[in-house]
Amino acid sequence: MDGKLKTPMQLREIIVITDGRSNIGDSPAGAARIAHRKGIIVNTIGITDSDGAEEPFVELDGIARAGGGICDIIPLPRLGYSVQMVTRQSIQMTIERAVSRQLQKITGCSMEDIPPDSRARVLEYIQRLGDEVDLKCVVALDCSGSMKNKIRTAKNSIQDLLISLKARKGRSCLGMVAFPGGDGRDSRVVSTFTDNFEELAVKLEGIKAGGPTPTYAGIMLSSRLFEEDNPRLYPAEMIAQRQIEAGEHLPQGGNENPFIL
Amino acid sequence: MIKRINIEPGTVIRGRWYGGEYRVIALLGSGGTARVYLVEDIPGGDRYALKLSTDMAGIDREYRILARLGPMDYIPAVLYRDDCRVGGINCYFFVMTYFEGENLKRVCEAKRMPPKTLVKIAAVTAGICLWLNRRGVFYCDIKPENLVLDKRGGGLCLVDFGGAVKEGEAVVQFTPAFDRASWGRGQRTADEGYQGFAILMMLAEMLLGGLRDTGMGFDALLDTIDKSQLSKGLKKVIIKGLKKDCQSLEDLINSLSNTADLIPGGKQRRRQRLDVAINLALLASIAFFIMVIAVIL
Repeated sequence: MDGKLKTPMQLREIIVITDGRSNIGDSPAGAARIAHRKGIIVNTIGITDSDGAEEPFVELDGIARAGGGICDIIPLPRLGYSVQMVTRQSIQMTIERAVSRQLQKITGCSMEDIPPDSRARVLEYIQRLGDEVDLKCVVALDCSGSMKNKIRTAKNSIQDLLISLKARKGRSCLGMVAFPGGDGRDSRVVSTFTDNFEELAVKLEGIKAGGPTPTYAGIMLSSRLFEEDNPRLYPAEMIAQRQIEAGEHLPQGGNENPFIL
Repeated sequence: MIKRINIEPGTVIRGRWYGGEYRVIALLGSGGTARVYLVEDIPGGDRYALKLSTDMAGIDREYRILARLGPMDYIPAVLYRDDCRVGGINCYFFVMTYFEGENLKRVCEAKRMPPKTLVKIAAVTAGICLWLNRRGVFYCDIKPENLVLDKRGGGLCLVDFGGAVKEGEAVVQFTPAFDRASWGRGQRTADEGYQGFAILMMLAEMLLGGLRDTGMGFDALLDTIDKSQLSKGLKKVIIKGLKKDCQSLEDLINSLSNTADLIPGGKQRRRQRLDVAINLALLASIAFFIMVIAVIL
């Protein structure tokens, strides 16, 4: 079996990075739900000052739940690692869900209900798909006043995310939205989708922190970035599922390359 | 929300499918969502390391890599894997051999290691990586924390295979200071150049310290190494290797072993016993790898 995809499959993700609660505009979870219906996965990363104080981040968990994504709460020094892990794991999770649903249909049990030795093959397949799938990702960065001393780390983390994404087999590109957007705007597009590291670095330079936290506006603008790019959007899991139903890249028995990561 | 598991010593981890039971003795290390515990099996009482995570695919992948490599002196051997529930959360784990000893970071913090020993350690690390590469496993998260000086075997062991990938694949687990992409010196993909860079950076960090901040930039890094007290030959090997990122591990092993021979180190009056033991073990390891390479070629 060759490892190539027959039709391009693309996942769409938003990663919201913030250090506090939304304090202006509508419910951010609502925005995440709308985005998810359009086939976009919304993940959230909350930066805490002290490890463990998770109480103010219930909202972020809610956003991730509504957006079908992952929420991670971490102290600032771990931001770079978290951004990459959340991106990777949510790709994995989206594909896993689609495969799991198929599995449930066929066998009546989920991945959890299969002993580890038996599910290894399915996991191999999910992992490979996770590396090969094309990815479009928007980082929505909280640029409110409280983020002032965190912006530099956040910028570095975003640049570093692009380095990691470019090493994947599938094509990846990154867009960037800031909320608030400066000059009284509640959000603005910092960069449209790009895979050019230098281009992104230049655009990131212009970001400055200050103002309230309009998370709703940030998520809404992020999901519009995908629309401008392609008006026809399908839920990510549906795309993955359609591919699987079509029998594309199902693992075949007797694949004698024993080392598939 | 991504949950980070915490298990108190004394807790018993019960496998859901295959009946294994392990009592937690202590936390050995943690990274990302995974935790590694020192455990004893019930009822045998033998000590093992147990890696546990909520990431099903991650645990499965690491287990698969180690199981396929098979038992070998320089890497942990896996014995068992299963699912379990911890605090109402589904977790996945595998059990592997426990290397009794300190990791290199702690060893270096506890006492100053002679440059000669550190260069040999770098050469052996390159040897282990080369051996793994030939088996299709590219170990990329090379750092002192992942190298353990095994007290019983006396040799150097590589732990944490969560970051091992196939050649050319994206490196998913790395430490910025030892990652060439973070220094702007190439892609974050697995190849011998990537590993060579990490090994040389690790060596420079162990020799000089204070090089973990990638913010200083690559030129400043080279400058720091160049102005250091290290011997000329050693500086040349490190700087040349870091600059020319596409070198083979074989060349690296050769140039490191040659440099190690030139560094004086045998004339100190009070050599500690540990040094002697490590040096002997490293010497044996280098000889072994040179033999392995000779056989392969």
